[in-house]
Amino acid sequence: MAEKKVAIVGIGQTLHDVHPTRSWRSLLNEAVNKALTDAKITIDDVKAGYISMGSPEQHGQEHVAGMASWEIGMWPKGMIHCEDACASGTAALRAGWFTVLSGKADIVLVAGVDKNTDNINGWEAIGAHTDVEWEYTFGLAWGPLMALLKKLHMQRYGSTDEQWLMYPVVTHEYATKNPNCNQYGKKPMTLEEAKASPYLFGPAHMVELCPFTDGACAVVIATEEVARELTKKPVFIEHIAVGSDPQLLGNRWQWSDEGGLLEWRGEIEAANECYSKAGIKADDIDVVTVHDSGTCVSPVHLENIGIFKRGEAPKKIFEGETRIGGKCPCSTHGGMRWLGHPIGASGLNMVHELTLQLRGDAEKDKRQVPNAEFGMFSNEGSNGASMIVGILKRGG
Amino acid sequence: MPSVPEKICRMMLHSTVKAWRERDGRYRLQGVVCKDCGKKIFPAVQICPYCHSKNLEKTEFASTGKIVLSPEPLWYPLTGFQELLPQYTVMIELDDGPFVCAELVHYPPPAEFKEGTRVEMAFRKLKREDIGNYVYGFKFRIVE
Ligand SMILES: [Zn+2]
Repeated sequence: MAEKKVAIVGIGQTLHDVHPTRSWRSLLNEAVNKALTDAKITIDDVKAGYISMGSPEQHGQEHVAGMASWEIGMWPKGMIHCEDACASGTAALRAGWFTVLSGKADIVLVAGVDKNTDNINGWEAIGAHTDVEWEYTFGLAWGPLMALLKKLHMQRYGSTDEQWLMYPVVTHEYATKNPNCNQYGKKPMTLEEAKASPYLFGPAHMVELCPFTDGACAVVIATEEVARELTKKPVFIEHIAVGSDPQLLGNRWQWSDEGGLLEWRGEIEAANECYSKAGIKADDIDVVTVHDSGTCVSPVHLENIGIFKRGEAPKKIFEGETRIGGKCPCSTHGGMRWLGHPIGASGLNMVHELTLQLRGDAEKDKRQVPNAEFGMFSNEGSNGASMIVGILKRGG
Repeated sequence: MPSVPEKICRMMLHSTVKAWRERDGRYRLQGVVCKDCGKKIFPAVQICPYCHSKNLEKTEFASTGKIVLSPEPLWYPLTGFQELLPQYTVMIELDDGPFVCAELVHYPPPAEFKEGTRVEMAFRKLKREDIGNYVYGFKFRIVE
């Protein structure tokens, strides 16, 4: 029996910025309302809801699902909270996808939000995404651990700092064309400016790491039958797979005789599962979004999911292969580095951008990948202990 | 050390038993060896991730090893670590197999740490809390 199809029928996103006057509830409401409007439905049409919040500690509110249901008008229907560190958004999408596939609901809302700037100790909150017993307590946060990967790649494959710095340069140019990003309309950053950025966690420069940002994003998904009624441009979820690697980098190094820090088995297998289910190869992907809260690891993702050959991603990015017109444009919304990384929203922001691209709706902002048919995301939770990878396909 | 101690504001303050119950691993590098597939695993697990055996034996791993990967010094630490900067996070291969990511102790800080440098485990305060308790565990020091 052929598997049923599930389509994205509505998307909504707030401006991503520091929002001192607005609470997580306000941001969530805006994103949800935009997504419902985009889908041409009301909250009454929604049969089930998932909320993703990656770091509730940042504004102090646990049990967000309970509050959110009342706040967005789902009441008396409830929501369920999904938390998978930085991969929370796509974890919630996967739960929603399963719910539609199961036949228990024909329209499902998936909404993500985080308010990174409400906690003056936000860095500590994110530290708890690592292994608290063996990393956080030892003073090891994800930033310095990610910097180790860049160092190893440079040593092993001879990639250069200049090549790595091209990733934030390329994505900044995209960010200047994204009205929901606070970089909109600014002058694109030059490679020289990126090179002048100091080390934050050497060899990772400050320009390679995302800021604290507030924002929300929502996605409405539905059965194919409902989708065909609602929109001429459905975007189908071909597959979403979840992989995992040991959180502790020592464990990861050990399992693969030194390859494990760069060859992420969980991500590689999740990507292969997606390609197999979608019946395509990496070369068929037209536009991609990979995790880039620290761009000092994004090229490794592009290698793991097979967009570029092992060891070659920084060079290919430097040569322009992730720009529009290149082999595979990457993070055309500016990525987490520039859009920001309100953790629960971030995974859905990837899906939001791919949906715009596959519908052809990024044209108005002059960052459209021409004739994009397949889009792929790879969303990382902490140091890849959660890896959620998915493929979307243009419908209609 | 700065003249004014770092003010430590935490979102959660762990009980001391939370640290105490991990003492075998944190103080003595105790992990497990899988009796079925032979893999050495640190920190200890309850099921072998490689062969899924539960036939695991507690083992104290070598307290000596070498640095296999070292980044630049870190000046932007987590809360509770600001009094001992810069911080050096390195990947260490222990002499009997497992790899451990850990902080290097460094007084005075040398200009750079080379990969291949020999190290040994050192028992150290990991971090301080404002209510007075310390958390202890392993770091590594260079063997001259
Ligand atoms: Zn085993």
